[in-house]
Amino acid sequence: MAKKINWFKYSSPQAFYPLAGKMIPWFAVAALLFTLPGLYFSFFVAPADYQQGEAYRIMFIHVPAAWMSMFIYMVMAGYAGMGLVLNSRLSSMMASALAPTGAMFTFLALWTGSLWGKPMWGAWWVWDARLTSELILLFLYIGFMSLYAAIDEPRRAARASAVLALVGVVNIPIIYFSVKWWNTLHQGSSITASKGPTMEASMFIAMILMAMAFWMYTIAVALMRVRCEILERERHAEWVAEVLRPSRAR
Amino acid sequence: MTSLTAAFRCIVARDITLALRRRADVLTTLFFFVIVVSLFPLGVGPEMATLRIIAPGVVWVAALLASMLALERMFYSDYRDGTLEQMLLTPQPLPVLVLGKVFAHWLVSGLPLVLIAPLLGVQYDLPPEGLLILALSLLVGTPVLSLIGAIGAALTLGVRGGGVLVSLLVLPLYIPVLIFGAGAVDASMSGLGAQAHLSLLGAFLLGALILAPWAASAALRISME
Amino acid sequence: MPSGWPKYYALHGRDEGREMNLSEFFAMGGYGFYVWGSYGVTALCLIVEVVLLMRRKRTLLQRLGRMSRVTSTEVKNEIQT
Repeated sequence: MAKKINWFKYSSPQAFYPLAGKMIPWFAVAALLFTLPGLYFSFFVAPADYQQGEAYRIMFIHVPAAWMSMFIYMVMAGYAGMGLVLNSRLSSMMASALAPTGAMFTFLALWTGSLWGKPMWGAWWVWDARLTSELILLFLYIGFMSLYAAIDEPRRAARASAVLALVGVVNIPIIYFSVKWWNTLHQGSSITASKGPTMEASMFIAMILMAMAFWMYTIAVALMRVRCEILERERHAEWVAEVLRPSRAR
Repeated sequence: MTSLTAAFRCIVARDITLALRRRADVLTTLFFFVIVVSLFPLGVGPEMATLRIIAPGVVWVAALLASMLALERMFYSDYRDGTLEQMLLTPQPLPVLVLGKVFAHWLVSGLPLVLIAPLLGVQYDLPPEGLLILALSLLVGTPVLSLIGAIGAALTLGVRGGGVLVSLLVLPLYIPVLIFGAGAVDASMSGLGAQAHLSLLGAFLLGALILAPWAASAALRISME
Repeated sequence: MPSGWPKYYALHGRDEGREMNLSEFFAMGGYGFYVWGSYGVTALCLIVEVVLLMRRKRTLLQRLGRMSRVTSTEVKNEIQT
């Protein structure tokens, strides 16, 4: 018979702080364990592309970074919504802990996309539908973080940025399809990337491994950041002084 | 039901009266729009063929910026003198009151843009039907801008640096309106017909009418806590 | 090429099956700048983020320690490191 764990216990910052501390090394190690074979597959196992040569190897970080940028926004908005509806402090802290990492992956997707685009399309930037929506996603992240940073009172900051994140979620599909339509209407200036109809299994494995590595990294970093947020917001609480003590003794 | 429409009408009448007492504010937005649109030929060059191509985009971007600049006025004076706090306490549902305020705000800051846009289109040598579609797309699109903007204005109420911040929050959300607004004029000039674009703008308007007042009231309650 | 370095085989074209040397590997078939520019900046971003977070945590603990020292002297010895 499975032992019943009361997960709600960990929804309080006080209980979550030490748990997060214990989980961080595990996710960090997992990130490393996925990165090493991921890089091995990306550079040594996956064959050169018959059209793009070696340049296509950028895909192994570009595509996972783009996945992460979108997925983190969804998770962030989910946490923000939970914080708004259930009024749980930890959820909104998780939302704000995820935002900088999500913005970073969005930037990386743009950066690597640009470096991939230059040799393939002949230009650092093209107004491709995917590139453009990724740029707008970066703006949404920046808006979320700026609003959160501009409001001094943490509770109001969390709730206001949660509303913004949810409005963003409603808008993301609309923005994506508008940009896509806009792009197809202006066919002349756009070139679509041809990835080739078939993808070799080793390429697919490399991409999945790198995506898993990014995912584990994101969890580890978000937990690190949420611990800082917890300490900052709860610095006047009794338990923070208690937590400080044993961690120092070690 | 009648009390709802009464509340709505009351808010609209009050806000318009207040806005007409400070006519300079209304004119500032309008002149900003006119000046921005008139600057582009000076930067791009006077070739009529180029101007005709960029006209829809220029007018629409200028409309976006102008309606964004006006957002600060939507709730701020009511927030400062305490009226907003009273509104939150009234028995009428807040989204209806917000809708009234947004409508009044659009009448004084959005509608003038719609009316003057054909005149600016003439500067860019747009054909008559292009002018008509430009005004029509602005007529359907600028209320969406005001509705989405209301959320941003409510979120940044009383926040330091709120004016710049609101542009960061709101401009990315304006993008679909920009695409289909400018696209409508483009399509009509290239002979494709603007029907699809205008219908989609109408769909945005309906969606925004349903969702935005609700989100803006949630934001107002958070800001007033 | 160091021994134990994974063998890289060019699978297409006429060089099929030939072992690659290190400089060829870094050249990435002429796309070295783009490929290493992508991987390098990605690695840099990830590492900088972790370092910044660790520094944030450390300064935070120091500050909280200083604050608690004002209120109670018993936590004094926690502040080091």
